[in-house]
Amino acid sequence: MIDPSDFLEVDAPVLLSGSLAALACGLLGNFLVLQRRALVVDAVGHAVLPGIVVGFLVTGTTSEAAMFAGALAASVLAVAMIEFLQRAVRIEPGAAIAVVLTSLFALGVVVLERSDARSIHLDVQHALMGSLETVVWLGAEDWSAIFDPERLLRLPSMLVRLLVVTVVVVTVLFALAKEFTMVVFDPAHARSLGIPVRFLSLLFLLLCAVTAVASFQAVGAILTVAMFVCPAATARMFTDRLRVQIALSALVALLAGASGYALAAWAPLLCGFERGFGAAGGIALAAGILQTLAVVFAPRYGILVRRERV
Amino acid sequence: MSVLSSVSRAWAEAGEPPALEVRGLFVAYDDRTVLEGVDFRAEAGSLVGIVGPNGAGKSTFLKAVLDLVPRLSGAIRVFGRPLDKRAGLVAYVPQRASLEWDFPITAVEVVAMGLYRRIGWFRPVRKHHLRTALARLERVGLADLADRPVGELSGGQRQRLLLARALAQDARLYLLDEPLAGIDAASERLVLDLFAELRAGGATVVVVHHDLDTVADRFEEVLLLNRRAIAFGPPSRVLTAANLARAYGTPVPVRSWNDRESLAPASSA
Amino acid sequence: MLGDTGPGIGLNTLVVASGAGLLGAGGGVLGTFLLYRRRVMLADAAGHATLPGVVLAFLVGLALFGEGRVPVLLFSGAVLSAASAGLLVETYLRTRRLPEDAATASVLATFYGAGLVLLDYVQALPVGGQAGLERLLLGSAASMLRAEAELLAAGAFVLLVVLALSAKEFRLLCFDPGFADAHGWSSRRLDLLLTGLLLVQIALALPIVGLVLALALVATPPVIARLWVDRLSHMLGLAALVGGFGACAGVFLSALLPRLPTGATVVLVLAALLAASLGTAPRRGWWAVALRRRALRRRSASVGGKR
Repeated sequence: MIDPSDFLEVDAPVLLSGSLAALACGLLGNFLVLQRRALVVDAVGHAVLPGIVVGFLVTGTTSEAAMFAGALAASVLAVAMIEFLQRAVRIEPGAAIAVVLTSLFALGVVVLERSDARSIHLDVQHALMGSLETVVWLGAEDWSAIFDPERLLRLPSMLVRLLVVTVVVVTVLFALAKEFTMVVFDPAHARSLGIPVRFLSLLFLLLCAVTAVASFQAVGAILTVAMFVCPAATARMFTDRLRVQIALSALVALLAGASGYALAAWAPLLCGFERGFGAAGGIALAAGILQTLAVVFAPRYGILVRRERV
Repeated sequence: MSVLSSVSRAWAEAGEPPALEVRGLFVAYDDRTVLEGVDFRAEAGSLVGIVGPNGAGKSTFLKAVLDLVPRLSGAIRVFGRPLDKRAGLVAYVPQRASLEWDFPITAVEVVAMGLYRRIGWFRPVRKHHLRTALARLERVGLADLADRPVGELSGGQRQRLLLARALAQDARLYLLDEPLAGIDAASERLVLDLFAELRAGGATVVVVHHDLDTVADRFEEVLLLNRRAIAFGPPSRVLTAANLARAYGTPVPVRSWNDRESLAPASSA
Repeated sequence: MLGDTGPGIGLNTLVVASGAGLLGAGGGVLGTFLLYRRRVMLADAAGHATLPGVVLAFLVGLALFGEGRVPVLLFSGAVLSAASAGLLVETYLRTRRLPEDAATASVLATFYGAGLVLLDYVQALPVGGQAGLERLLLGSAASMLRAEAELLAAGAFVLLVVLALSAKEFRLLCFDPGFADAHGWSSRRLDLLLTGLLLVQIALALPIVGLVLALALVATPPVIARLWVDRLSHMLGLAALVGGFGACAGVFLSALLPRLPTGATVVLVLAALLAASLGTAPRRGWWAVALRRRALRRRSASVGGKR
């Protein structure tokens, strides 16, 4: 059966990190998809790279706080740039996103290559593929580690960060679900009621950015998009109630995390490979497969049923 | 109706401040002016229409009055108070098309949004809130559809839904953006009756409207708008051929006023 | 390989640069049409969605010729893969439950995830040449094969010719798709052709610009052009010029200076042009708008002053 040492040291941290990233992103994704801002997250994710690099260059340290701050600032800047471009040139959001995304990411790549940043553990590869595989819980040889405060302190920082972010996301969404719903459904009416729509939009955006940054470190810029969009899109195929949709999306996110990990990390071992494949790609693929299944087979809105009804 | 409006008029003369007073309103999007020095006044208890061509700034006018778009200049008073003290007095019904109708939410939940000030931050919507919301849905004849997702409602039903949400706010001034555009006859009848009911209760209703032919039947005062206030007053005096030509930039055929006189509300005659 | 002799401009760099220039010009024209059809982000999806196809094509190459890096095969794999992603987006949209951006985003990320898994698989195989695959993520002119450079130049040329021949129909599609339908050019078929050309463009751009940034060649030049001119025909010309110049300049810069990845350099050249245009363009530039706004504020103050 499963060897507890292997599982706790290697499998569990990756599995948990991936699932938490999917969960935090997936929950926020519900509102993001409804706002038609799914692609904004794409830009935010790509902006993390220059943010981290500049954060490193400015502070000269690889301290996680500095990089996190840089990434966050770059994410917010990306959104501001998108909105500015849309207004200044009067173009569709997609075009503005495309321009900002590529420009910022290219800036990150070039600055990274030209500076000393790449000599440390920063590189473009992480931005493109994530670094889930580097998450290990050293010293967790047996199950008792779960209850051992000393060994719990040695939990990988990425996992802890994702855990904190997930708790924050769940808390804020729980407290402000009504407010966010009103802001997304009818912002003009919400403002006429005196709800601080701009503040709430900014708060939501910050929440997305923080989550995207944390998830970026785990699964990279592009797969973060899958984490944000797929669970909500899958849940959307089954229900017309926002609360049900949010609950379903959480389930789908966790399912994608678990099945994706099994697909990428364990299946190859069973097929005779010496090591598993990247879990991040596996999770995104699993999320996409779940979404496609939902699109085809969902009871009321799936295309199979739809076709029969017509 | 005419008795009631003359009562409210009497109040106005007795010194009650107008429900809405706008002076020198100037609004621009980026570097493009939308409204240039508009003056406006809606007495408490009146039913006022705002008409003008596309892009005349009608919707912007309502939004500026609610502080939803920034003003370059202009003074706005609601029942004699500055805008930041308007809380609870004003209900706004935006244009139907500006909403995200493809949203997983039911009709009664939308109406409950109108109760927001009563529910408050962080608190969930409770059973008794939904009951109140359901009562408002009944007033617009949608009680049967309370649990429908809003995406499944027709245009007229959606409009009535938004009205029910505004009713839930128990406001004294109602600002409505194109509530009569593209809805079926039954819904239209219902909406107009509701306006009458609101006024009977002493509320003020300001409506952005598109159809010149029906303005005189429905509103006792009209603002003819095209970036500037072209004319303001009773329809018979505002909708003259000269004014309309100025607003629309081309002569506009409107049914002759002689046919109208009998239809126009007595108070405006 | 072309850039084996290190930084510097040789004949090989010239071949790549001229191919890139043609591709940049084609991207500008294509992107202008896409901008008007509001489908720029299709290019993003297409770019990322090429990954699984390219990796599979690499495997096919290995199986057939014992060599994974067969340019024509990789190109076809990229096009087919991106095309199937497009079909999946269409399928998602048929449910009418997902907005277009969400459908695009999820397909893009899913295909990319599948590509990464396949890439890991190839890397676990006991064969050589995999390094060339990872290079597709960000692009590198220096490590292009001769055959790849030739395919690029030829493909880009053909693309430009097709665009020139069908420009009239595409212009119609942009202005008034209904009119196009009424006059016998099915707007659906024209959209399909436009999408097909886009896939070719993206697949050709992979070796130099990489799949993450291939999007920039179609996205940025039209936006720059739009800041300076209004008419579609002028926009097409200017976007082609800007795109061609940006791609050429990027290739030369990255050949001359060490540690300058080609794709990112091309994108940054375009971004710099855009930034300059945003500041100084005659009517829509920041400076011009600021001036007009100041005048407006003065006028409103004088109007409001009568209160």
